[in-house]
Amino acid sequence: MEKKLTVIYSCDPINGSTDHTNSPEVIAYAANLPGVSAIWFSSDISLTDAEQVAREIKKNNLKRIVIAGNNAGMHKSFFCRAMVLAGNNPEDVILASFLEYGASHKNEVERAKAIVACAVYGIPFEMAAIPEELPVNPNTLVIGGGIAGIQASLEIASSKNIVYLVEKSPTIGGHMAMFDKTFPTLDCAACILTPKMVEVGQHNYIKLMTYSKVQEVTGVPGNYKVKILKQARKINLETCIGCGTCAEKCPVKVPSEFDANTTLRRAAYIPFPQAVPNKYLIDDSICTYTLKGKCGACVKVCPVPGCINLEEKDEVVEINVGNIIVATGFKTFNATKFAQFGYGKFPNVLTSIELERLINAAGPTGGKIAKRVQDKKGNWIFSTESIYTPKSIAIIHCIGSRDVNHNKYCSKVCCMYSLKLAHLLKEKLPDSEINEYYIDIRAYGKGYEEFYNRIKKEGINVIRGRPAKVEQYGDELIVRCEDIEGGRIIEQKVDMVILAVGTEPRTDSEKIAEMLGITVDSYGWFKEFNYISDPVNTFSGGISIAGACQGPKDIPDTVAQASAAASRVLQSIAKNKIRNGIRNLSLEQIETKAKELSKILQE
Amino acid sequence: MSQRVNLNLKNELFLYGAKDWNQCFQCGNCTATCHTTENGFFFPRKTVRQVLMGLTKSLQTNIDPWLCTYCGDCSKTCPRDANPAELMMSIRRYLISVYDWTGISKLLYKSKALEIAAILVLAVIVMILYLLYTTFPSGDTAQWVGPDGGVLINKMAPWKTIHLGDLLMAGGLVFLIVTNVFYMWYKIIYEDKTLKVGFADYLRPFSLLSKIFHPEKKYAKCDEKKLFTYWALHLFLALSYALMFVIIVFFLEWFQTDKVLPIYHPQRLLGYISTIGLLVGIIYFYTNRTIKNMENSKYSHFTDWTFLILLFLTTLTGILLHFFRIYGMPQLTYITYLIHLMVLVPMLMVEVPFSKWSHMIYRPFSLYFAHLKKMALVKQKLILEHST
Amino acid sequence: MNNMEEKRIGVYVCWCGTNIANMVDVENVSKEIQNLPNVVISKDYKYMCSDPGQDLIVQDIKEHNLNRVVVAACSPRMHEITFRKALENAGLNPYMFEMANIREHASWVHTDRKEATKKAKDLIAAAIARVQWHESLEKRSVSVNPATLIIGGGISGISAALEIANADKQVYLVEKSETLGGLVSSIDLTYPYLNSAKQMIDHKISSVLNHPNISVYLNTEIEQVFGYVGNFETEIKPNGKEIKLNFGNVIVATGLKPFDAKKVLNYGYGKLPNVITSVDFEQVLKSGIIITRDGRVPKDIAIIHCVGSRNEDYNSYCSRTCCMTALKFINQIKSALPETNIYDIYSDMRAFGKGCEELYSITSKRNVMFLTFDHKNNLPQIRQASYKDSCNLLIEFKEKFSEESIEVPADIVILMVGMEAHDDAKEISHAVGVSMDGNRFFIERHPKLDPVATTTDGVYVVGTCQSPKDIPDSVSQARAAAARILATIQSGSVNVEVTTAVVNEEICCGCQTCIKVCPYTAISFKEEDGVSFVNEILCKGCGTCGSTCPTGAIKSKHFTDVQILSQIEGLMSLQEV
Repeated sequence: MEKKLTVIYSCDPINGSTDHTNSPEVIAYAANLPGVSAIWFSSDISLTDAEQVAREIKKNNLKRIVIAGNNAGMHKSFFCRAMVLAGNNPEDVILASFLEYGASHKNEVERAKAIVACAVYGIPFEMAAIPEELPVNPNTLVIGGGIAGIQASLEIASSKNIVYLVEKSPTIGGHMAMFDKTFPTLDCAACILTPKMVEVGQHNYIKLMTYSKVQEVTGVPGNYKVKILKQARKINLETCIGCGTCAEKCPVKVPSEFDANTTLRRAAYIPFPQAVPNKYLIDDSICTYTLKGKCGACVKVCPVPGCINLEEKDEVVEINVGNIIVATGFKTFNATKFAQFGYGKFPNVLTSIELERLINAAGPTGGKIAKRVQDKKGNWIFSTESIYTPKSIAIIHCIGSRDVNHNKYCSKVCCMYSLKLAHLLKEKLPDSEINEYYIDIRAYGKGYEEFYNRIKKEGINVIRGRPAKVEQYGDELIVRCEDIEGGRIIEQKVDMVILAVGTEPRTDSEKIAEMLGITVDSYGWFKEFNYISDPVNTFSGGISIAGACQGPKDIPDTVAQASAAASRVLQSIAKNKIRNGIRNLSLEQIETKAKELSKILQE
Repeated sequence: MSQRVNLNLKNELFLYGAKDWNQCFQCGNCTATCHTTENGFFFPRKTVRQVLMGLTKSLQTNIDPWLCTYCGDCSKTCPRDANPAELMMSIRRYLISVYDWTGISKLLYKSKALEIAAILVLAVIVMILYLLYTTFPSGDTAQWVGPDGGVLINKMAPWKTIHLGDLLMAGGLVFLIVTNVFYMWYKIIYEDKTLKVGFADYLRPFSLLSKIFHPEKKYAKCDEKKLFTYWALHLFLALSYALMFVIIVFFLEWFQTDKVLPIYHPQRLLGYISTIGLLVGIIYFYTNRTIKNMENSKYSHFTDWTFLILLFLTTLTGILLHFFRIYGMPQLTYITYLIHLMVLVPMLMVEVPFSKWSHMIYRPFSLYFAHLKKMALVKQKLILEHST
Repeated sequence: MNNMEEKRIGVYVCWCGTNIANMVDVENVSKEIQNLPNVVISKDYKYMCSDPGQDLIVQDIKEHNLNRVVVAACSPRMHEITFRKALENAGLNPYMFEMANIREHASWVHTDRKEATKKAKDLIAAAIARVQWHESLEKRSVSVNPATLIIGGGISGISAALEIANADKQVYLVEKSETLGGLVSSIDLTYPYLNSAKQMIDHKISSVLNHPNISVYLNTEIEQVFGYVGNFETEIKPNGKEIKLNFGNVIVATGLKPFDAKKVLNYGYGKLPNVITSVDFEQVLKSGIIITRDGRVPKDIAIIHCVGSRNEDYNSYCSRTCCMTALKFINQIKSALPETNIYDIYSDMRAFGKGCEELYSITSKRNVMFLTFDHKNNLPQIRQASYKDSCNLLIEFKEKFSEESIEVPADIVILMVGMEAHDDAKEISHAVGVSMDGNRFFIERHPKLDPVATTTDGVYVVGTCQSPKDIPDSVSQARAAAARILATIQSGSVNVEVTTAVVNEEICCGCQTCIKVCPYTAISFKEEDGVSFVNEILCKGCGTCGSTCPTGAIKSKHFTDVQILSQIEGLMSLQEV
């Protein structure tokens, strides 16, 4: 016989995603499902009096309860209690959490219905929602050439299948290449990354497309047609011997992205010495020739005839792939939004990423920690000549993270990289005073807590308390803070302030999501299929997400996730079959499947 | 001896107007922004902490909330929107009710009805007394008008009578204030056993006198310049209020004359100045509280409103009274005077000892006590004079 | 080895743009090197690694039929592979190549051009001297058995199993206990979105059990895994009968166990009935009714974090999941018993994952009291409350943020116990040949860039046996290992190290010192001949055995004594001239 059940509909917000609110459609639909005898609204019943609800349950002799909504789990314990008081089994409280399967958005009402249906039939959503299988093209597209993209590409290529690695910037390596050392083992980022980069560059099965953008994705899972815009490098990748004479002669100078704007580069440039591909290119946006129509200094000096072609135009190439892995990474928080810390106003207030470059031996000062000095033109620059080594330094955590005025979420990596930076500074300036200002130290990973303890032993003051502002008197910065555990007010005179900036989604993440038919959360991070049990796949078939584009992540987690993303790809290639995306499933399909299964169960 | 934590203290504070500041995760941002914090006075974070943990004892003996100038910097930059500044104000209300040994202010703060009731009762009492001891200008109104066309006010309501009432009221006020301030001292200085304040210490701190009236210096430190105007007007209002108070309570004979004195006469000049002060103040604060453009006017407890309204009515009736008198309208004068007193007395009797206006007394004293406390701490080497 | 044939060496000096040329007079170097014995030609070029540079080598090899090549450029870490490829393209054995690192070792680290140039010469001379003795080595690869053994049936093991099995590959899933699901099946809801763990894991378990490509062995343990990457084998005894399994790869997903709260005496767990662990409380939540041992509805519930974590006396590491679990508990308690007072006693609130900080801020809106304690020294003290008190227990400690010593009333105290490696972690590590760290977690090959592989090829560690983790991270790792394995299976074969050690059986005295020192258990003893024997597939060519062998019977290929010695001679040779 049908078990009588009721659906509790709760529509309270959770974890910032308030967008999918009480939708009459879903309720109307749920009401007509077999066995559903009542729909209660969490707002109507008093969620404080379990006894009263228990009486209700007895009165209507309800056997099962389905809690539907964004944050169904928030009410589970209450109804479990009510069920037990009513003499029923608490296990008959079933959750239909929209958020669990990413249906927390207005235009995902259909999926919300499906989730409710499955819960009512007592069938796991993933069991009922099984799309049809399609043939698969063994080639794979990886978007983004950071460590995640590199890892995923290598994993797949090692199975002797073609991978197209598309990277927006002229070289692969991403943020990791900019770092000096990595926590907690302190091995140098370049040393462990560049071999992988070189491997990618030389791999027979990886087709590297740097300085290119994915323009358009059409087709079905297993057979996507992808339009890629290859920007004109204007210097021939094949014939360039990387001698760098073009750069020497190039008249234009702009801040170097790779060095986080702490150094200058020319219009004809190579991002950094170990770039892959290790070839020069010309930045169209600032090249005098493109802007004014005359110059061509580089062409004159280039030793390889015909290598530089200033007339070269962007081209669009089309490729066919079966799977797509999105690894577009993150961008750092713009510290100028924090007026009170004076970033951009005071020359010696730096972001952590700038410090990474400053510490690095290949950085603006060749690894010497020195304050910014004014050049002839009066701009503040880092220079090897600078004799001003900071005597005391403040590192401020949670810049742009854990703050309702900026980003609510925690950026996960800042605590650890700040501790690392403190260590590196102490190493180079042993008798300098270094203060870390934090709210909570989040040293969660393998060996992280041990690292934290080690830092404290090294004589770095790790102070609990968030400074409110940085003020400048003369060339002296003052950080004011309450040392909460020390029970005193600190007004530290420092020569240098480091802002541990958090991570943010790429500005174009929503555009990419739209192009690929995947969704982003309220911040702009890509949404996964199921955060708990399936953190890499999406609702579009054959499209996985890897690394920090899904949410802040440290390197080990990123690498693990990148490899994980590869697994589904390899799986589909192995079987030469790929499942269509669940977003292509209609509500009817899911419901009928659920119905069948529940019949089978009852027999 | 370890204190027992108590979750309900903060719930109680909601009655004093506190908003939801449970959010606080104790990052110390507010303390660092606050320009009144110094070693020994960790503020507002530590105060917030006492509330969150329900450390009633520590909170009642805590002086810091009185040091707050309500510039609102902490609330603006709070990463969790916990609104420390507003909480400080709520705690002040709470502390006022703590210092008030009669327990009346606790009642008035917690219930709007009681507050209004109290006002009405007082008004009625005033009315009865007034009708008993004054004479209505009946019959030929001419006989109530003096040669210079001004109403013979002392004929209908002799200043002696009113003055007597005033003095009685003042006496009551002084008694309440003194006892409350004593209780405040008891809580803050006496009960804090760590402090050793010798008798001599009470006499020394003259340097502090400057301290009491220099908060504008502290405001100047704040980001918002408009806060300075805020403080200036606040001061102007306060002074005018005090001036008026002194005049009517102690110099009524000189102030309430049948003769209409020339406009330049100090009696009228002083009257006008303080009236302007009151009006400007009232209008400014009224608009602030309605527009809510500043942190310190975002949240208003109903007592803030009742005070503004009463003050406004008093001023208004005062002005009317003045003009009815000099333009010789005895009956109107008589009635307006009644209404004037019916508003004035409750305003003083309710607001000054038990409610909003008491901060006029508590704040200077708190600064005095804070200074004592600091001197003591320095002397006991618990904090360094200028460690920051 | 055949040293009769005439050595024809080509030397190539790289400018590396200006990187080397600035500090080293490369033209002069290549000119002088020309005169060294057996050097047929010596050239310098702007970028040897560039394709034109490589073509240069290839042509010369053909024209001057060179049989040895030396490139003086950057570190071999950068480009050794590049040039070995070039040699192969020219039909030469890739091991007939030696690299002299004159960038990192000379130009970058010196300031005197003359000296740097001289050093560069020495380095090249050394390389030339060494390369004379190089022998051609043949790449070897072994075929891969497509089946996979997975040890541990928790969420990690299950995810990995499904991933591989869904690619139509055989999986043997071995679980010690009598059920699948591991720790996840014992919890009620998952953080941060409070989804039902049961609904999630039940489905996965059933699909594992019904999967045609997965054979599950419950109540089964692994004694010893024999063999090497691609060709492992083991014997298991599920309910008595012996089964022999052959497989190509192993995934270790043995998970871990909760910390034993009895060890922390302050908390009186085991003595005070209403002090329970987070593990116990999950069961309470599942049961649907939260009551004290004496059957009352609790008025006050206290939660203590970092029990057995972040403290040298117990475990110094952070267990990563407890903070969020505590926040989850708070929300569940508040839902079941809205009137209950909750006191959360923590040290640092580690809400770092996706959606976690948000859950934290939601929780703090729910009239909860967050208190901080010192997780290292003077931990809170729990004692039975007196009959006068309105509560069961009292927790006394110094609150960090207020600097007040306080007492917290509680009817139930929940201890957030950390996670620990299993007691039998050591046995497992020996059985499959992975190493353990101080906390008895298994060590991955590289903490950052290779978090799932181990130093033993074909053996992977995933999930919480590698370090404490929450479910998403465990699942990612499981998938990562699956990806590796699927890739190797598809490529059909794996290359194994060529520069291995070999035993010269004439000289070997059978002392077995080498067997003791070998970190890869690659050396075994041949009883019949009384000599050691190196399994070339397990051998990583680390050279430990070679250096310890008293008779010099062990030779590590590509690092032979003669090669090393002549390299040293070469380094000195120029001074003598």
